[in-house]
Amino acid sequence: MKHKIPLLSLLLILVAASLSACSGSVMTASSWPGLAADEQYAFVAYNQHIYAVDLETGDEAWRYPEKAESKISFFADPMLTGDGQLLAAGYDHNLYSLNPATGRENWIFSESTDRLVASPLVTEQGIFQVSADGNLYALDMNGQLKWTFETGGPVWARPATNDECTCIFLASMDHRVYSIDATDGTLLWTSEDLGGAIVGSPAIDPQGTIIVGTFGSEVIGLNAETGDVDWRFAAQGWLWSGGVLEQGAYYTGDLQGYFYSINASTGEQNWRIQPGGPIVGSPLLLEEQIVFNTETDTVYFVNFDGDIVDSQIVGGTLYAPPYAAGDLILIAPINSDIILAALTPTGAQQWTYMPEK
Amino acid sequence: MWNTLIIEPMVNALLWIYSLVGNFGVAIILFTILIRLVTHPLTASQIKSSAKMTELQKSKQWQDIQKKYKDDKNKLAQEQMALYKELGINPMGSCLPMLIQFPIIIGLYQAVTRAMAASPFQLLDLSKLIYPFINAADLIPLKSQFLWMNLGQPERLPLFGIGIPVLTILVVITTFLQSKLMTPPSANPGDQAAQMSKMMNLYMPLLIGYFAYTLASGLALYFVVSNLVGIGQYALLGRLNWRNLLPKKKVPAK
Repeated sequence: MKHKIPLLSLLLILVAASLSACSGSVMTASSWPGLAADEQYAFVAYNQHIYAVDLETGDEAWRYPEKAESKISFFADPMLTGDGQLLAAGYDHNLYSLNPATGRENWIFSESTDRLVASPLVTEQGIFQVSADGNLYALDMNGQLKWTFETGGPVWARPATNDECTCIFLASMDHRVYSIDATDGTLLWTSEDLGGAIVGSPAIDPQGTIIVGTFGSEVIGLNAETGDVDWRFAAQGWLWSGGVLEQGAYYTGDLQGYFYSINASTGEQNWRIQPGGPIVGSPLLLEEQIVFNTETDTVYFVNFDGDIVDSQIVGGTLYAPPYAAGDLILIAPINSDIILAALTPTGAQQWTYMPEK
Repeated sequence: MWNTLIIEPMVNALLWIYSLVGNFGVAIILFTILIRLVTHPLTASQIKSSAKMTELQKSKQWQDIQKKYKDDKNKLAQEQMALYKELGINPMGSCLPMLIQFPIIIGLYQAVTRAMAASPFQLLDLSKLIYPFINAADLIPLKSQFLWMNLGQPERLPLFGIGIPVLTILVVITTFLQSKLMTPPSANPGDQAAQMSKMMNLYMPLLIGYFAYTLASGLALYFVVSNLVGIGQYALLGRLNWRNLLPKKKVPAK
């Protein structure tokens, strides 16, 4: 019997270690950093804080909350509003409004019953926050709830809108896209089941096409007026983040590591490249090039013909999309000794940032 | 290696069952029962070996050599080995099946966690584990509502304005029952091993209960089903020790 003592102790330790390692608690990062920037600061939402980092120097200006709280964690891209708020969606189900200059709290919206994975959309009609509880919450600029709209599954994708209508386009993990009247939450149309969950934000072509990528490994163009499918493009892998549109072309990457240029009107492929490693983050459009990163640690600079013109190894794992802040390109790696790197448009590293504990 | 041999097959089996039944709660229950059935020969072997060891430790022969060679550890070990050989008992017979089952049990737990994929990291991770023949695009997101629970969230049953952690209570009770009912009667109730076993019976339900309280309820459901199936396996083999549930009679001090 005595030989069982160390064995039982070992088993107890192993059980505790195995279970706690998979707990997915807020202490363990369960997503990657979210980014935003104004003229002065870059804002990084990562794990238990929102960090404001000086764009000139890379020094931390403030963090919210000042002391980490176990129940609070942030991963969605923070959102700056026209009236001077910084909105931060939390995994604690709350949407926080902060003063971007000081990090002081303005208000908290706390009616969601599940995680807020996506950042909010801000329009003239107010703030639109989606939740993993399947709802779209419409708020006024003071965080007061105006109405809600329920979809059939969790919503991880930031909603989109265009100038042509006062409507919101909502892509849900229930495989559907919804068009909703932004003023009162009335459903305008629902798409058919598109064959896979959608976690990337829809892109809206000025010609009237809404483009989404799905876990069914398809990029799909929908008619913005009716929600009917105009075209389908077969990709090689799951499409995670939404793509971007530029002069009639839709640019996106998939988890098999392919990066595509697709004709936004017809859904035909213009070109594709496979530089290496799954592509999770959305691409960033600059004046003469497209910037995207792959999981494997490298930022790629590609021209509009699909030629790789430059690349920069940042290190770590790159899931967060690159973000333009003035002349700088912000990159937020994980599994690295930094959480933010500022690159010049030519790919040279300007500064890096790692928060002090 | 761990992912390829344990996690990937289990995650895909779980998703395949889910694709048949369309309910993740039912899929967890069926999957847990399936894995426990597959590992039943190991469990049975462990139970039989453990029972043989207990019987041996109660025997006169064993007690005699313990007394005779109490000051000579080497000789005691030699005599014990000789006795094992003579009676055809493998001293590792109860430990080896337990060691083989341990990665399977942890794998089962991890498969449930990973399949639920409640965060972007977990979903990305899941996308790398799924076999091509599983139509993941159709299945994701998994329908996580089961009875009153959202299996991706910690469970609380709202009653009279308070959230009662019903599943956590069931986890603690079934873990306690499992520990108690499966512990064979000790040959020497006062020795260190028996005391250790007693402590484990007390702390393990609390530890597992804490995890059930704080983690996604899909895992708590797995704990409850796994405990109940474990008790059922022991019952089928006639090895449940109901006496452990009764209060012990105190022996008056002489």
